[in-house]
Amino acid sequence: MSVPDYMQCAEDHQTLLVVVQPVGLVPEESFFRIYKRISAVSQVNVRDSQRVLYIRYRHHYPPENNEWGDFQTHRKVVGLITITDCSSAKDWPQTFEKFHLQKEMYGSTLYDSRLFVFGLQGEIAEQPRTDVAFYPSYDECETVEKRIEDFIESLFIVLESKRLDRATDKSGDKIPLLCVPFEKKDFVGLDTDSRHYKKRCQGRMRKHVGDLCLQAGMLQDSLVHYHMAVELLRSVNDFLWLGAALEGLCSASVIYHYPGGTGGKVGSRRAQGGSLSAEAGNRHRPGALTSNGINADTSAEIGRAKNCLSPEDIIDKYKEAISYYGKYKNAGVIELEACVKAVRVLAIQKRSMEASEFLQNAVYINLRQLSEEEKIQRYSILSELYERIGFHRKSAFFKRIAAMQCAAPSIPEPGWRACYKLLLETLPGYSLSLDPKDFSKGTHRGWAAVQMRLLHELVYASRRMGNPALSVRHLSFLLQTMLDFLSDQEKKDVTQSLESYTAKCPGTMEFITLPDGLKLPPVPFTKLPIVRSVKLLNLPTSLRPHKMKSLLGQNVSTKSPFIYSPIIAHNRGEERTKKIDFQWVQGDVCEVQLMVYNPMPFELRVENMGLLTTGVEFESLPAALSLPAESGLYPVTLVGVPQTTGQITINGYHTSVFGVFSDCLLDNLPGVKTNGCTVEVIPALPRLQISTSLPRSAHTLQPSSGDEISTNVSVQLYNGETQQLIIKLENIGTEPLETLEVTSKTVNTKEKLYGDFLSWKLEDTLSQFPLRPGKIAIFTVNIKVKLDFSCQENLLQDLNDDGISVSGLPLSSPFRQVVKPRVEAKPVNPQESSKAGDFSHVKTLEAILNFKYSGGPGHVEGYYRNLSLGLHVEVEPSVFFTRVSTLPATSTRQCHLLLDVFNSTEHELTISARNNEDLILHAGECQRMAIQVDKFNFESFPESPADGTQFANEKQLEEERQQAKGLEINSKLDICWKIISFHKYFVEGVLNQLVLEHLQLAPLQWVCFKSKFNSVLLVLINLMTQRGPLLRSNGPSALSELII
Amino acid sequence: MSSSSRLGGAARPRAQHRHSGPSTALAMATAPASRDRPASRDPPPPSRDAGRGKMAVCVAVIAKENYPLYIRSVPTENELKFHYTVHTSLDVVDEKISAMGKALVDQRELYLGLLYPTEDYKVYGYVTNSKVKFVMVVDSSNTALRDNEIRSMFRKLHNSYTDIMCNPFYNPGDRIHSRAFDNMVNSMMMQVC
Repeated sequence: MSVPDYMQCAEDHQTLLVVVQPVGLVPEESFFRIYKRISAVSQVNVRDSQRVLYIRYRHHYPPENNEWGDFQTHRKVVGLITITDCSSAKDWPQTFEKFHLQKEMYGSTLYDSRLFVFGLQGEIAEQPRTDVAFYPSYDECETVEKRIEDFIESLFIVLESKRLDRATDKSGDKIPLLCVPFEKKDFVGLDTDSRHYKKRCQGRMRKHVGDLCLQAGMLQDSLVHYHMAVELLRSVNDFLWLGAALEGLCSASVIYHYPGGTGGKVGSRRAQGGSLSAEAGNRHRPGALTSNGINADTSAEIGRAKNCLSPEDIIDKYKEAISYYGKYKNAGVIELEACVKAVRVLAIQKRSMEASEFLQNAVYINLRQLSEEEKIQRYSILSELYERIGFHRKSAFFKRIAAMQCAAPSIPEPGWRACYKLLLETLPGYSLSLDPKDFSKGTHRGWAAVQMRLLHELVYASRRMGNPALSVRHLSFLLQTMLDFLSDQEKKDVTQSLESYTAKCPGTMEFITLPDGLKLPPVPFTKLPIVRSVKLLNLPTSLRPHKMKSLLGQNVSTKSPFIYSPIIAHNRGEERTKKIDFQWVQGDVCEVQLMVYNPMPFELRVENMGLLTTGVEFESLPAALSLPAESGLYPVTLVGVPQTTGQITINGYHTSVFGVFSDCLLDNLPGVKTNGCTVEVIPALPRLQISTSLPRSAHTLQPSSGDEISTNVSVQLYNGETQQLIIKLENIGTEPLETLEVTSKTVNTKEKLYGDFLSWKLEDTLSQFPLRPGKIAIFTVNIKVKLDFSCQENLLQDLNDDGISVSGLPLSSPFRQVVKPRVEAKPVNPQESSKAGDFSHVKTLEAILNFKYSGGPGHVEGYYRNLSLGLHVEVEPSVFFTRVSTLPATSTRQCHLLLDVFNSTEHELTISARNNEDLILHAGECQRMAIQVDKFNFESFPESPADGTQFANEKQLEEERQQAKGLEINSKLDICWKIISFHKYFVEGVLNQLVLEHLQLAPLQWVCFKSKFNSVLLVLINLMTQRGPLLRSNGPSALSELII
Repeated sequence: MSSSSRLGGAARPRAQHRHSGPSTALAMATAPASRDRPASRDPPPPSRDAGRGKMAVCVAVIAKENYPLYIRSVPTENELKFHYTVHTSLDVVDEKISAMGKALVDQRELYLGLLYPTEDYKVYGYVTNSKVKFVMVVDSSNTALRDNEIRSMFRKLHNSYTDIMCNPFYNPGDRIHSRAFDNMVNSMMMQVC
């Protein structure tokens, strides 16, 4: 007896063992089909009685186990069913011979046997035989079940006769000594007449009868017999058989108490039959006694009521029985099986601690040297039993050992597949799931050391199985979930082996389905690198789309009758947290910034890192990066191009690290900061690139309104000079450029500027529109710088104080009084006065040219783009008019205008005026030039209405008039300067105010021009139209407006 | 009953093919079998001839959620073996806790007694009221050790653990890195108290 049956349970004691075997060439599939049908007939109600017979079928049973059949009758093969394939009649005798040979193998114990012949037809099949059944084929054998039932009934008849035969044997008659194989030699030469020996025979026989009763479905009788056997055997210290009697008692009690069975897998079937048998046994007992004529002494010796053991007693008796078995080395299998049976009973009783003691004992039972396969079976069953009593960790431990055993070095062909399968089954015991999502919440809570070991083993087993995809998956899982527990060296080792595996089979994001249906979810490397924040970036300023303001749209967007309400503002604020308030443009490169860091102690190479999006077709442009070891936060910009329009949501990113492709979704990442992941993509717009004829400037403008300048150009000009700025407009986008609007804005308006600083004709450019992609249009801007040519105010003041120079200067006293306070107000603007006198002061003018352009589908939707060009002009002084004065000429309608001209450039230049020869000035030279001019009559200009309705209007009108007068003077004088190598430039504006009063006709208007420091008093008295003086006073602030 | 003591199983000839054999199969094949710890953290090698011999060979503190807060064993070269021993002992701890769950809280005995014996070791358990478990593995050859001494060792361990919990910088649920605790565990592994 060397092969333990680990599947045994207590109720197997009541079964009859039938072996079903094929003879000759029987296809395995067909055999098992028939075997299945046969084994379905596992319990049979015997005719004429309410007893139930249970049958245990085996297709393989070692004959040496059969030798223990006297010890426990359920180990005895009592029936043999042989299945054979016989196609022709002439094979028949041979087949029948084989059947007889087969019978001889179990011959000593068989009650009956059957032969099922398939495929044979003809006269042989016609002969009616009890022990042979003929079927034409495996498909036409409806009567198999019926045959089996008949067969079992015949078994029952034999069993019953044996039972009755043994039970009625009177003590004192010659009772044979039943013994187990290893005892046989011990009893040679023993005194068979001794009382001790007889008692031993009696006890063993009682126990045997108990077994038979149990098998025959007479539970109560069996209990009685077992009790008697225990008493008898205890008195003669026959420990092995005492153990067997105790175990029989336990088995019968278990069958009584737990009709549902302890084996687990066939519970429901037994539940019904078991309870029936228990009841049947109860009800039937008195009847059985009388009808079958069992002598009454069994019931007389032991009280009937207490025959059955209580659940607690069952365990005690099991313990006792096992301790007796333990005394015999050869009974190891019996002991082991008893332990297993007891554990099953305890599992039902939910007494895990005691069960674990039994199991612990079973672990120590030393059988002969086991084969590797038997070891695996043994560990597996230990694992299963531990599982049954709720010791999941212990169960996992043994299962893991079983798995290791499958691949032990001593096995010539390691079963890595089986090893892997068993390892997978240990996962729950180590509270490990293979879904990385279970680990994403917070820190890892598990027994990392053992889990890591298991994962390593899974990796190794799957690799040896020849499934590199699996090992990559497990190794990725190990790296992702156990990263915190890996030492630096281990991290290196794991990544190295991962890289070597992925060289053959890259890791994917697919589910891996195992043959047994288990699905291994993909493992995205969310920790390699760790992402801390995700931020969607706006387009660069020059590419940002703007919505054209429409009055209607504005009103519709705020659905409130109130102009302002804090509630609405609050609501909007909330919306804004979810949605980003800028837009992306279809076809343009959009950026997302991630802050990442590398937790590994070595450089981490991340390849093919790109964005995962939904909502809009998005062309991700992957990036490759290399993060230094244990880097701090490291910004990474991922880019892509939206191909369609609508709402785009950034769901995550994909990477390829160590050859494993991962899709990391932001939802699954703990502790990631984002500013919102949904942004609107608007239709495509053209892109404009500008290049100019002027050099780029390092000087950047600081625009007031906050928008950025994409390009800055600078130019250096002399005062009065004009230059053309040629701007090339290139459409570098993919959409046609349809509309263009140009506006300019002068910043730094400290300087007085005459005339238009920038002027252009847009029509010429627009005629080339729409501008196809890749085409260039030319846009010309004229830059004209005309600043003040008068040197500084203080110089002019000198001039005015010069009595000779001013005609009709005497001022009446009231005007003086008015002047005074203006003079005192001078220190109000000290900065300008302090600058005075600096001849070589280079002045700067700055302006921004704004190009609003649009086109393509974006234009239809009402979007445009804004591109700004910063213009930085440095104005160097050219000529200064340091003094202006007039001398009366021969005619009162004419006068001589005297100008002191100063050349502040480093070049020689000429000054020319109308009706005058050129005056040549060397660098730094100052000369006086005299021009004879006609005095002006300004009557032709519109006068201000006498009853000026509004001050602003009057002022405006006055300005216009001044300007017109200035133009008139300019055209009259036509003063221009010229540097020999340069063009001719006109002096404009400066002289307007200075010269004005000198050149006006005296009789009609008496004009007083008074300039003191920077305050100017201008008094105009129109004698012709008004009797009283009209006084207009302009302070320094008003002055600039007036001049422009 | 005389049989029950034998069921505990010390007297029987033992199987040679138990856990040690197969577990080496993958040890050489896959990852490092024993974790390299920085040398500074190793306790001074206990001298067997220092009189009364060593006591515990492994001390573990296990969180309520059954993951190790602290585990330390004397033969550091085979630490994983103790990990397995302690891990499987949790089954018994769980079982014992659930069995005494019905008892009143203040009457509860924290000491769980012998969890299970293996061939070479005995495993003892102790559970605090907050369900933090202490597991101690003792060499089974050390017969001098009485139940009472084990009990007092656990009490010492509990006191030391309480000190750690009092540290405001210790985050409950984190691994224990405390020199005081290390020293105390060392003293338990060194000699009889």
